[in-house]
Amino acid sequence: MSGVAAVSIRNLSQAYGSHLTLKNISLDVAPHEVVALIGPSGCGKSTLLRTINLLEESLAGEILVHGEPVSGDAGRGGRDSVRRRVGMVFQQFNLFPHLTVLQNITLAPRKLGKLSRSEADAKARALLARFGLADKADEYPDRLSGGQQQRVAILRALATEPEVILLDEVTSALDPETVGEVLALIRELRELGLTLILATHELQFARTIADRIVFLSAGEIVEQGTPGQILDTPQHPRTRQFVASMIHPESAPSAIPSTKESIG
Amino acid sequence: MSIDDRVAPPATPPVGRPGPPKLSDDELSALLIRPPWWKRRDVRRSSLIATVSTVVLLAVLSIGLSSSAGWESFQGAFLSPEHFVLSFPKVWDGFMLNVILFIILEPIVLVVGLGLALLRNLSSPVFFPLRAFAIGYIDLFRGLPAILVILMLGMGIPALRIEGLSSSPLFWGAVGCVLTSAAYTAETYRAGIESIHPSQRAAARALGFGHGRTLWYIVLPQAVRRVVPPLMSGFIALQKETALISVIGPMEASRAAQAYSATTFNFTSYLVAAVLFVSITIPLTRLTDHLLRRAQLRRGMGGAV
Repeated sequence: MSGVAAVSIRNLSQAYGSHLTLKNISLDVAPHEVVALIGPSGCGKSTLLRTINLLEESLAGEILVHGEPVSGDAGRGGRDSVRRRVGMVFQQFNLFPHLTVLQNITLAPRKLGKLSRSEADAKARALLARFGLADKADEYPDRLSGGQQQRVAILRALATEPEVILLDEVTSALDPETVGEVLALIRELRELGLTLILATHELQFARTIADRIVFLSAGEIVEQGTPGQILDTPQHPRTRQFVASMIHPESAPSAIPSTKESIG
Repeated sequence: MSIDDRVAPPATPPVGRPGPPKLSDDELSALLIRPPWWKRRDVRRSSLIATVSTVVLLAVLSIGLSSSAGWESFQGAFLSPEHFVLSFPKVWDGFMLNVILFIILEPIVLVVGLGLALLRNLSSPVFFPLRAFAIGYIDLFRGLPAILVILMLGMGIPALRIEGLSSSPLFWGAVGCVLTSAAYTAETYRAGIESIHPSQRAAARALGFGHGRTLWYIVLPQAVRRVVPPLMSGFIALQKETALISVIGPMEASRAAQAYSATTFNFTSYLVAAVLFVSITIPLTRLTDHLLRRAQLRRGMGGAV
């Protein structure tokens, strides 16, 4: 890691009502680094991503994007400009159902990036063609399979030319046979040199794509390291339990603290 | 004992029942076009029962009505063909005023209602007075009977004789109609806005859209589409409400019918007005139903919203 971190999180805490969801999270993500957040449901990985993108208010601590503070007081003015530099992809795709695929992708570049319609359309069509979705440009999202919708959602985030993309369990809502096409697209994002932070349940995918895996439990970072360290030789008992339960769901002891909340 | 050790006995069909035959593709498509005889019998039987029960009900009603003591005089006073023809032109002229009114007023109601819904949706504390105004306005005008609003505006404001303000009761009656309908319309829009899932806003905010642009580009287009059918219902209600303007004088359809009956002591003119209103509202209701069904079909196609 050299230079300024793409995303730097310092002692970040967050709460829903009186329930603490993140406790003193500190994490530096270098430019072009791919970080996978893993952990049981409700451990706070989605909340962490949403808080980085300022969709949730933080309670304490700070978030810096390329060295600029964005959270807390500093974030209040420039919230929308931060979001333009940090793309986000959601578990449920959240495509705009009243717009075609092309319009979904071009809306932000046209209205916020000040591209003309023809420029934005041309760029979006090039993106779609590059990732095998050219024939879907004029379809509405509900005519697409889950995997196609999620790929469009990723391209929509990509079209705003962000420096960082946050991926929030982007394959959890997909049919098993369409997971592969989405994972392949994420791999291409990595090749493009984007900084990626992804919350995921796909440990094998995390192993092959991530430079670093961060294990969260009950709102805290328990352990982090290379995929090999975390998945093959975890040090902390909670990490061991979690990894074992994900690899052999039937035989693992169910001693993981039950923190399952409505948050994902 | 592991699963492999258990041996299930071979299943055989019940004795003496060969079961239905396997059908070829041609036989299956023939069935699609012409359902089996017992399904056709069911359809025929249902329509027969519906027809018989309707005929019986109508017969009982008409025998009951026509055997009532006042039937003869009622028929003369309310269902007279001559008076129907004689009063028709006057009521028709009045009805044209209703038509002009609701054609002019409906767009105004739609715009004012949307404005109120947007005011009510403002979240910044700076706009608190505007929000409070919208909430107070909607509460007040949904709570007041429309006829009172029309009476108070139509009688009150011309009586003030303020320079530059119209003193026409028709104008102020129309304003009363708009004020009342707009309050309902605002609530319809609000229901639509609130029905849009928060994840849509989150997606728009994540792309960098601010509050206002999220509302304008993402929430409103979906919300308005969703509330077209209830907006149409409001339109139909407005058409009937234009008849209330008659209480402050303008010669619209129901007022014209009343005038006719006052000089001829025959009430068939009311029937004329009723027929005219219904001839517009019923087709519109059907259109609304059709739109609603189409909207449901569209939404039924699924997709993650």
